[in-house]
Amino acid sequence: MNRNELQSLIKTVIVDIAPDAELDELSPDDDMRDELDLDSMDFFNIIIAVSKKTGVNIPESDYAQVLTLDAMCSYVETHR
Amino acid sequence: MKTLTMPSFGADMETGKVVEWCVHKGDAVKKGATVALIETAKGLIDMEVFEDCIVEDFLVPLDEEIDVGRPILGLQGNAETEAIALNNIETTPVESEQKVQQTESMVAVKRIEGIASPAVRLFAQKNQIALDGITGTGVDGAICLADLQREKPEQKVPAKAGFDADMMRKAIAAVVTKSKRDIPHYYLQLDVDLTEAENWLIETNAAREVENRIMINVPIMAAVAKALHKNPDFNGFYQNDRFQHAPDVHLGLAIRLRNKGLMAPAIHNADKLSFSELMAKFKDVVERAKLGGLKQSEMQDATATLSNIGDRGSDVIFGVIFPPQVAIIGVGKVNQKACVVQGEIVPRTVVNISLAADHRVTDGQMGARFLNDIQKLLNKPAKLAGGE
Repeated sequence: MNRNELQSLIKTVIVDIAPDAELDELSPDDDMRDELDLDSMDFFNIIIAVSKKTGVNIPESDYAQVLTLDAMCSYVETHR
Repeated sequence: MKTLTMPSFGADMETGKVVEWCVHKGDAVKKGATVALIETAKGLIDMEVFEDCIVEDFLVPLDEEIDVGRPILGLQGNAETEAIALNNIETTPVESEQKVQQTESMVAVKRIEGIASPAVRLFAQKNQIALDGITGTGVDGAICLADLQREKPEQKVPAKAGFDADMMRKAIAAVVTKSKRDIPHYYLQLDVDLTEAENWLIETNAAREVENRIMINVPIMAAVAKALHKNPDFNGFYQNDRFQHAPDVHLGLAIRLRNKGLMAPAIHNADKLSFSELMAKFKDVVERAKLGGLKQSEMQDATATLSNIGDRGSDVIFGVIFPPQVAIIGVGKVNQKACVVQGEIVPRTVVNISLAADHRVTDGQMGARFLNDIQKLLNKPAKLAGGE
């Protein structure tokens, strides 16, 4: 899975969890929580779904490393 | 004949609509069963019955504005007739020999197990999805809207049916105006050290599958609920010029909806739940607040409310009490701070917890004790976790 496919997968996950999130306005280096108005439960559900779909475990201590689209992609690529 | 009346979910609510009957005439329904789906300014609410009974008649048409308090459903049944009826599930209505007076809205606190809510069934029906064979991931195996999404990923869950942002705004305006007019609030705050609870969670969560992890919100909820149990003067209702303690702690959670609304459904008996149970309830109630399917009892039963502003990045929130409750507890952003512990400056995880309370019922000293009890409970996360 290349970077574009990974980004696409994460965006699909976000839309499933927050159907009205405005992904067009999200830059890869934006904090997703702020830009998409996600609460902690939304973000937790995104972590669950991305972990399941990519097979990469994102431990709680690493949540701060996956706050942007770019950072989440990099994290998954590094830990796969 | 007993009647169910159009329920009120707050002093501001004047009318509601029945959008679906979930039962048929002649059905014997058990305590806790959902009988109708009610559309209000706060979204779709599942209306329940609080005792076993038999459905006799529908007293109002669907999709019409009905005044709060107007009878909407005719029921019959007492202990004797129920026993007969429930042994003959599809039987016709059984005449009760004993005339039963009309009652107020009958509310149940028990959530029916292993079923789909009317909101889920409505979505399934509209999208022609068979519920048979779908594995529910909600509490007690209930089928959630997310489960339907998984089955039919190309179909989107509807934006909250029955939700009207302007109506919701008006409803919130009415409640907070009444609160600020009638309730003499006082405010306290305390920086609470979450480090012990956070460390305990990191260790516990490391051994759990990702979907079974517990969020930091949960120990805070548990500590607040247990502190309410220990300090009952913050847990109850002020009505008719007097305060009445609530026998149980039903913790309301202020949940902000993305489309600008706000709901505060209750987690029943929150002080008696383990972290895992509380986490499951938390997930379930947040999902249903956002997608529909909250129950009438959840909307009416909160004995005190917790409002968490931390997700939005504010350090502190001073809440507005939901009348007739007498306290609202605010949780700010979880931060790392430099603290002095045993003479050393060390990084600690800190959250500001505030209390807005009704001065007719309690004084500041009691409030301070309540906040300090929350800190003490959070200092011993293993005990707070309920044996996990």
